[in-house]
Order: sequence, then structure tokens, then C-alpha cells
Amino acid sequence: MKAIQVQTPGGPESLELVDLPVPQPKANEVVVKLSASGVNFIDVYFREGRYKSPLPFVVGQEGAGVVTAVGSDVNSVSVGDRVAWTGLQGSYAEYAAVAADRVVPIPAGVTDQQAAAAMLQGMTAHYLSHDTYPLKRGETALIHAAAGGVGLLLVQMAHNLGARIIATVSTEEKAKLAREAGADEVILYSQADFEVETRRLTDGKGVHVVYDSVGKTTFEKGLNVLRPRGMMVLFGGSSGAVPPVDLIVLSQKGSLYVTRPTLQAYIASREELVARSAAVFAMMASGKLKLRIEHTYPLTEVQRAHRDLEARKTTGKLLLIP
Amino acid sequence: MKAICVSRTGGPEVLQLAEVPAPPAKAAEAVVKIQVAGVNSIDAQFRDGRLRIPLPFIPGQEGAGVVSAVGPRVKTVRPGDRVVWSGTLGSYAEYIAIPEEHLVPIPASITDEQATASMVHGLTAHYLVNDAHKLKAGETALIHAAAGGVGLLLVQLARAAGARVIGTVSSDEKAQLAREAGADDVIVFTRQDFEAEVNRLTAGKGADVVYDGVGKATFERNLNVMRLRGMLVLYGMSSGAVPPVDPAKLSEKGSLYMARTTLAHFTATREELLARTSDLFRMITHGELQLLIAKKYSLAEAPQAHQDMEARKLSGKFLLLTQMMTVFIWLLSLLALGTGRTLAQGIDRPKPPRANIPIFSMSFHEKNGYRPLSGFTSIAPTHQCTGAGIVFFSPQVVVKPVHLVPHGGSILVLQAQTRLPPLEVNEGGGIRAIHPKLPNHENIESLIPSSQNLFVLARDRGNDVLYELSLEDGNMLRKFEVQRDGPVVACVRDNEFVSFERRRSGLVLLTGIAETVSNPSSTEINRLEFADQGQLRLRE
Repeated sequence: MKAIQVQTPGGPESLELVDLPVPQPKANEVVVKLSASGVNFIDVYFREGRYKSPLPFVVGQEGAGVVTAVGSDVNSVSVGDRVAWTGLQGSYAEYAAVAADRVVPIPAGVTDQQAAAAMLQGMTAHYLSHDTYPLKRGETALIHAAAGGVGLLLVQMAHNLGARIIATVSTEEKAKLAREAGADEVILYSQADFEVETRRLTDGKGVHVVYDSVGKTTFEKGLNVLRPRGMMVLFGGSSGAVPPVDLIVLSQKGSLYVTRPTLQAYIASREELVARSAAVFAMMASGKLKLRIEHTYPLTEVQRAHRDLEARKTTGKLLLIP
Repeated sequence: MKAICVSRTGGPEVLQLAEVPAPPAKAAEAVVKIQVAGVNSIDAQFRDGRLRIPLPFIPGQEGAGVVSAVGPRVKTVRPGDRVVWSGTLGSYAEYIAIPEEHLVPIPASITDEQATASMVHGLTAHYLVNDAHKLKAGETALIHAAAGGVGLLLVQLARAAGARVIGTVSSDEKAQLAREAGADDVIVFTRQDFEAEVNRLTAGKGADVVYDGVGKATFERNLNVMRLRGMLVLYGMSSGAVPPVDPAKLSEKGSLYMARTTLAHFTATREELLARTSDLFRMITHGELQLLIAKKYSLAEAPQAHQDMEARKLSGKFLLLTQMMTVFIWLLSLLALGTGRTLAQGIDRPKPPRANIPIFSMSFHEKNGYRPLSGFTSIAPTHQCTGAGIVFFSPQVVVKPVHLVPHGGSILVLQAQTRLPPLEVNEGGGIRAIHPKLPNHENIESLIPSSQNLFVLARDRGNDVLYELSLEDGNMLRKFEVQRDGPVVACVRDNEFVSFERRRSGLVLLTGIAETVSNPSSTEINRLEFADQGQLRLRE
């Protein structure tokens, strides 16, 4: 089968198309013929060697497809089932062997491509808005990078929960996307100071929660726009790591909460994984959640996919079609 | 007036007793004659300069007393009102001027000492359990310094919320206190590693929430004893400041939450402050929250109070009795020793303070007889029971009470058959009937003791009438007509109030509910009128 392998970590050129044997399932695994594989920033980090993986390895953390073989201990999944997963290495390939208890069924009404696109970003947006800080009607949320992959989904879910959304974006084009997704106010952070704007838009009261995947450049100011007892949800660091936080600052700025969640902690049990993916799929099937698949690439064009992603010109999901 | 002045920062010795002018009341302020001032660790931080403030100053953040004068714009309090406050500097004194919006009225069922002990410590415990992390039944809470001032209250409130409580303490004596307050498991951290112990006690899962007022010494290990997505609430740093925290640590240790909270943000509005205090006062009145007084001092003994507080040997609340001379406090301590209670031991009971009366046992009525209530061998003095309850005073005497009212060292019992005389049962087991000499043999519905006399609410041919009786011989001293609708408030002492309220089950005594009354200090009870609380007027 064809697969994309990294032998020596580095730039996009280190993504090599190779021929590998089709994997066989271990006792608790299923083998899936992939219909689509999601391209994510975490793949870039593994490719560059920032995140370590034994070499060589097949890239890709998320995918969807049809089960072609099941291990001897597997009862929950059968050959022919459509399934999707995230958080397991090896999806930039025609086939992947994945742990049976980490795959979720794809319901009718959701395509394989949509499912692959929704696993990481859709479930991330879901846990952020429904669990890390369960948004309530009438609350105000500041969402950074609102036109990004997670951002657009988070804006839609927050909007559906009845929250008022203040979004930050970098360009007019992205502002339009954020507004279409349901943002009530959009701040072009390249033109206006989001701290000043957010204070103005909330009559000086501040917001209940800040969802921040940008990190270094936004964190400090984010604390300044929280209302007393508000929560900073730091779920990424696209601008770099946030330096250590002086706890006194949290009390001085209003008994603030900080959390640094990861998706893995919110899909740790099989029950939660299945429930969360089902909730996201249901939103998609009913049209409440719109995913933008911006581009699909054949496996052979994986280097271009990574270049496009890293150029940060994309606003929707990139998929590889093996 | 006398006050403690700090004119240079330093150790306890800089707390100097001085004679200073009493403050006048500004337009929106009330001047309060302070009865009790609370001693808090923040006072020591102001004293030694860790927290900066212009010198000289009068320390003390909280206290209770009686309003003695009000400014012209003051609307909510009047001279004679009993009030409590926190967050206003200058409480180590005989008088203080305070903006009226910071004053909380003290209900009749709460003593000044209890009210003071409810403020910084009580409010902190209250917001931690109810808001900083809303503790749910079945959750596990790790509470550091569980026998400390906040800790003992936090343990009780966490248990009341239905949580499992693991406490850490420094000594076996404190472990005992934490257990008495309701801790399920207690870790003596001086000889046990709390990280290993918590993980053992939770089968490796960790605590849902950690309440930490210790800071530096405990912070790192806290992160290892929390369950996935657990919450760390840091509300103080008694062991020193925690170094800055890398947020990545929170994700590595399991998508944890962390908050650094202060009381001011949880009592920011007057509504919130009053809601918290009234909740605490209700729990204290009903015996659901026990306050431990560590030790009481005169104003002149403030340096000793700070020394003792900082030595961390005694648990509970340190109080200054600002109007008392040292010798009286010694006498009080001696008296308390004489009755088997020391001021440094034993949980302070609700007002009127006294131990439970052990000869009482209680059971509840079931279809086929009376079921002893397990573990209920004595009656908390403020416990009210309905007609279904039954009280055994001794094996021979069985009485069905309508309600029980604490009074001094005894309990007044209104019997279910309300034509029977109310009883006074004293601590030694003596029972005495009070035969009310009422004109028409009315049914008595409520008993309200005052210091010398007894108020009874009775039904006279369909009208409610309040009588004041002599406790000694039951003779009627005065008679008042009571308005039918709305709660009724009676002044039973100079400035203490009780009220009773009409409920479906009948009239129910509610002590300490009355919050505003019109100028009680200058009037007799028979001329009190309560615009918002119903009307009480004398029938000649």
C-alpha cells in the first residue's frame, strides 16, 4: 500500500511516499481502508521532530474509512463498518491498523470526508464549549483565531448555545467567515487592540471566558478582558508557549481561572469518545454545524498540503485522499 | 477611645495600645461600638509590612458591635442595631466608622462572637464550597490545613454538600479536630506524604478538587493528586508565594484547572455578601455549622493574640473582646473551665451557648410507634421539631413538643397539646411547668424567651395575641395584638429580635430573621412599629 513516511525529521520535503505492506490487525485492532485523512498542525510538529516519534513513522493522526479486517478480540466493530478516529499515528496511508476502542461509528448522513474533518477540530470545539467551560445563554466569550479550523466550529457551537461571541481574526476575509459562523462582534487584531475593543464591547465588564489557541501573544491581554471569576481556556500556542504565570496576577485581576486542556483528557473513556463524536456528527447531519473542507489532495501532493497549512492561508480543513 | 496603633512595622510588639479620638460618622457612615474584633493572618501581614499601608494605622479587618451613631445619609442602620463587617481596617478599637453598605445586620440568634467568626473565615469557606468550585455530592475534596480557621469550616461545609473530605493537618490533636468537623480521612502531613496518601485513599484516581490555603509547600504535589480535569483552588499562601506556573504543566497533569481566588471577588455586591452571611447565620442557628473559638483576648492583649495565632498551635478563631478588661476575660475562661469547657477547646455552640442536654433523647413518629433516630441521643438546643416528634425527658415523662426553644442553660418546650403548660427543662434534668396566667386559656402557638421574661404567641378567639409573661410565676405582664398578615417581629431585649412567621403548619418561630426595625434603642417594645414586617401594637 502507499503511505507517507518520515525517515529524517525536517521540512515538507521529508514527507516521503513509500510502499509498505498492508498492516494486519492485532487482537484488539481493526484495519481500515482510508477514505480521507485529516491534515493537522500536530502532523507538522511530528514531521519537524518537535514532537517525538520513533523513526521511521507513517504520518497522520486522524482518518475515516471502511473496516476491512478485525482482530480476534474485537466485538464492537465489524468488517464493512464506516469508522473514524483521531489521536492515533499512521493515517497518511491507504490502510491503517487502529485500536478498536478508539474508533467511532460514522452515522448515515455524514460522509467519510466530513467525519475525518470533524474528529480533531469538531470534538475540540465541542469539549471546549460544552465541558471545559460550559457556555450558557447570555454569556460572552472571546474566541481568538475565530476563522481558524477549530475557531469556526467553536464560534458556531458557542452561537448555538446562546452565547454572545467576540471574535478576533487577522483579515477582512476571515472576519466575514467568522461573522457567517455566528460571531456577534469581530475584531481585526491587526488594526485594533483586542483588549481595548473587548472592554468597549462589554461596557468594561469583560467576558466570561476566553478561548485562546494563540498563546504567547494573546495570553496576558486575555487576562485583562476577563470579568471577575472568569476563565482563561488556553488550548494551543500557535504564537509560541505562554511563559509561566504568576498566580498573584490571577487574584489581582479578579480571582481568575486558568486551564490548559487537551482533547485526550476529554475523550479519555470510550463512553465519552463515542458520546462526543456522536454529538458532533449529529450537529453536522442536522446542518447546525458546517464544516468547510477547503481542499483535498492526493497522497502524492502531501508536501503541498503541508506547505499550504503552514502558510496559514487556509481557513478550512485540508484532507488527503489516499 | 482605646485602640491598637501600629506606628512602625514589625513583630507583635508593635501593636501598641493607645488613646485616640473616636471617629465621627461621615455622611454615609455609621459609628459602631465594637464588641468583638476578629484576628486574621492578613492583620499580621499588615503589621509586619508584607502588605503595605500608610503608617500609623489601626489594624483589624473584621468585627461586630452596636451602632452608636449614624451619618445623615445613612438609611439602612440605626443606633442600637447589632452589626458585623469585614474588609474595613481599624477594628482593633473601641469604635469604628464604617460605610453603611459594608454592615451586615446580626440576627438575634447569633452572638457577636459567632458573627465575627463567620466573616472572613466563614465567608471564605462559603464561597470556596459554593462558588469557587461548586462542590457536588460524591466528589472528593482535599482540604489542606483542615484544622485551621478556614479549614474547620470548609470541612463542615464540604461534608454538608455531600462530598468526601480528605484533610491534611500538622498534628494528631488537629487531626482529631478535623475528624470531629467531619473529615472522612485525615493525613498528618508531618509524618505522612500527602501525595502518596491521597492517591492511596482515592485508589489512584485523585481528588476532584483541592482547596489550598498553604501555597508554596503544597502546590507542586497538589498537581499529582488531582483527577483528570480536576480543579485546584488556591485561596491563600500561608507557607509563601507559589513560583510562577508553566501552563503546560496543567495539560501534562491532566487538563487541570487552577484558580487563585480572594474573598473580595466573591462578596463584590451587597446582595452576594448578604446572601452568604444569611446562609451562614442560618446554618449556625440550626447547629449545622459549628464555630471554634481558639482564644479570646482583651484589646491590650493584641500582641499575645498575634503571637498565638502565628504559633499555629491553637485551632479556630482568635478574637479580641474590645470592651472587656483583661481580668474579666480571665474570669470568663476560669468559669468556662469550671463547666468542663475551655475556651481553647470544644466547638462553640449556637446561642444561647451551652452543651447539649444529655438526658434528652429523641425519636420520630412512624406508623407503628417511635423509631429512635440513630445517633441522636441529645437535642441540639435550637432544633425545632414538629408535632410528630417526641421527647423523652426521662423514662417516665414523654412529651410531644411543638417546638423547642433554647433559653440560657435550659430549653423551653411548647407541648403539642398546647393547652398544656410550656415546660422549662434545665441542664441537670429538672423540669418545671410554667403555668401561663392568661385571660382566656388561649392556645399557645410559639414561645419566645427574653432575658427575664417569656413571650408567648397565642390564639385568642381567632386573633393572634402576644403575651409577655413572667418566667417565674407565669403572670401576664403585657399583652400585644398582632397583625394577621406577614411576619411578626418582637424585640426581646434592647436590640435583639425574633420573629415568627405564619406557615402552612402554623406559626413558626424564626429567631434572628428580623433585619430592620425602627429605632429600637429609644422605644419600648409596645411602641415598636415595623413598616415592612407587620405591625405590633399595644392593646391597653
